[in-house]
Amino acid sequence: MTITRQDVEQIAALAKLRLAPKDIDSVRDSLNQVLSLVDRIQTADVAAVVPMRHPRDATQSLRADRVSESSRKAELMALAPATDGDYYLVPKVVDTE
Amino acid sequence: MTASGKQQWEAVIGLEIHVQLKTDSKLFSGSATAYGAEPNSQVSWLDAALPGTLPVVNEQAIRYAVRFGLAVDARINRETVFARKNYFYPDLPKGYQISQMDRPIVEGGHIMISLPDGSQKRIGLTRAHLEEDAGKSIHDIYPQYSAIDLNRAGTPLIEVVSEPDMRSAAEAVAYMRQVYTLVTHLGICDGNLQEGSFRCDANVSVRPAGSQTLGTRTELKNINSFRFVERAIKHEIARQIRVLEAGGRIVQETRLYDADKDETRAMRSKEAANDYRYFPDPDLLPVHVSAALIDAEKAQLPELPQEKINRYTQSWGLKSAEARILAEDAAASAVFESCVAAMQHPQPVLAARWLLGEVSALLNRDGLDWPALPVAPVRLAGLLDAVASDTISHKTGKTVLEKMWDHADVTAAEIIEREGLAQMSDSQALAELVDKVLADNPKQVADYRSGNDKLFNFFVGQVMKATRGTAHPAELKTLLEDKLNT
Repeated sequence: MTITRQDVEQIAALAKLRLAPKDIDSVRDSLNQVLSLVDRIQTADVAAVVPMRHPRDATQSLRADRVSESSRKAELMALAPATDGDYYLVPKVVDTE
Repeated sequence: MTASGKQQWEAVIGLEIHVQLKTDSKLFSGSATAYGAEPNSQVSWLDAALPGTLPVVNEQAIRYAVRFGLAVDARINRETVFARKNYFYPDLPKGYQISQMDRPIVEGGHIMISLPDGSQKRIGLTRAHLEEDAGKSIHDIYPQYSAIDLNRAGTPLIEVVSEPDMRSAAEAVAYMRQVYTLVTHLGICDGNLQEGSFRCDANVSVRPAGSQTLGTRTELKNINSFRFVERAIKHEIARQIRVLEAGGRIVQETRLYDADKDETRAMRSKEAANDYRYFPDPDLLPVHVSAALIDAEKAQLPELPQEKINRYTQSWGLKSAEARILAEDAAASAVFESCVAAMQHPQPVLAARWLLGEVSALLNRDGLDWPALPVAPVRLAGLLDAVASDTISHKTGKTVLEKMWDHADVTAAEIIEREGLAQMSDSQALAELVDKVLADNPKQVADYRSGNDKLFNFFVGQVMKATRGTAHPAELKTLLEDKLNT
C-alpha cells in the first residue's frame, strides 16, 4: 500500500496539523517507508497462529471504586501553554459545518 | 409508516445510548466523578494523559456493566478487551478514548417496549461496551479560544447499541425510556438528564415501505431529553423523505438537532470524518470477568420494572397504566410499596390512586419529584388507613393531606382528631342537622319538590358546611332523599 499527497493532506486535516505544501512530498515518502515495513510483515504466513490479545499472558487486575487521587490542578495548570481562571484554553476547534 | 404523496415510506432507527455509571471514581484512575465540581479539580496525572501513567480498571464499572447485561438477558464476555479509539480533540488529552471494539463486555440481549395499542415489541441489542467519557469543551466563553474542563474525562460509561429495530420516533422514545427506567432501577446510573448522565445518538434512515434494503443513514448526535429525541427523529425522517421525493440523495453524515430552531443541521459528513483506527490498548490486559462476580451480580439483581408491573397488576389488582407509571419510576414505586406495607389493612389500589392522583398533583404544584416527597410513606399510610376505614371522606382526606404536606411530623390521626374531621358516626345527630337545614330553607325545599332537581346538591352543601365536611356522603344522600321525597 502506498499513500498519496491527498492522503497526507487528509491525515493532516484530521490531526489538525498545518503542513507547508513544500513538506508534503517528504512526509509522504517517510510514511511510505513505514508502510513498506508493514507490507513486509503482512507477507508472513499467520494462518496457523491464534490471535494474541496481549503479549503478556496475564489478566488485568482491578481496583476498588475509591477516590484515591487529590486535585492536581495547580501543577497541571502550570504545565499548560494557555489557561484562564479554572480553564485550559485552546484555539477554537468547533466542527465546521 | 409515513405516507407522503403516493409513496409509503418506512423509517429505520437504531439508538446508541451513553449511560454514565454511578461510580465514585473514574474508570481508570482514582479521581472523583462528582458532577458540578470546580472545573479541572478532579483531574489526576492519568486523566491529563501525562506520559508514564498507566490505567487501572475500576471493578465497580465492570460490575455495573455485568448487571446491565444480566438484566437484558445478554451474553457476558468472560474475557473482555479494551481498545483505543483514536481521534483528535482537545477535551480528549490522550488523543484516544479507551473503549471496546472486539469482545465488548456485553453482547446481544433485548429490551421490550410497549406500543400505543398495548402490544409489546422486542428491540434487540447489539452490544453494550465500557468506555471512558471525554472532558468538556466550552466554546462560548472566549471569542478566540475553546475552554477545556477535564473533570468528566475518564468517567465510566456504557454505550448501549441497539439493532435498527425501531420504526418510528415514538418507538425510539419508548425504547429510550425503557433503557432509562432499567438503568436507574438497577442503580447503575443516577439518571440525571440535565447533567448528561444519559445521552443518546440516533441513526435514522428511510426506505420505501416493504423494501428490505436499508437506506443511507444519518446520525443525530447527543440528544439528552426524551422530548428532543422524538422531535429530532421526526424532523429527520420528514427531511429525508422530502429529499428523496425531490429526487435527491441522502448523504451519510452527522447532524445536530437545534432545539431552538426545531430542525436538524449537518455537522460533518462521514467522508471527512475520522478513521478511528481501533486497536487493543497495550496498556491494559484483557479483563477476566469471574464467575463469582457474575453470580454475585445475579444474586443482587433487583426486581425489574416489567416484573414489578406484573406483580402490581396480578397480585395487587392495579390497572396496567397505573402499575406502569409507578413501576417505571424507582422512587415512586419505593414510596408506593412502603405505603402499602405501612397500612394497617393494605389496600394497594387505594394507595396507587392516591399517589397518582392527589399526591402527584401536589408534587406537580410544588415542582417536586418523588424523592423530595414532603410526607413520608408511613404518614401517608396513616391517611390512607383513615380513608379506607371511612373515618374520613376522600374529600376530607385531601384537606388532611395538604395539612400534612405543610407540617412535617404531624400524623393524619392527629389532624383528624385536633380538627374534628372524623365523619359523623352519630346518625341521630346527622338526621337532626338535615331537619334543621330543611327547616331553614323552606323556599328551596318547595322548589325542589316542584321539580328543580338541581337543588339537591344545595342541601348536600349546606349540611356539609354545617358539619365541616364530616358527614358521611352516602349516608347523607340517603337521609336527604328520604326526607325530601316524602
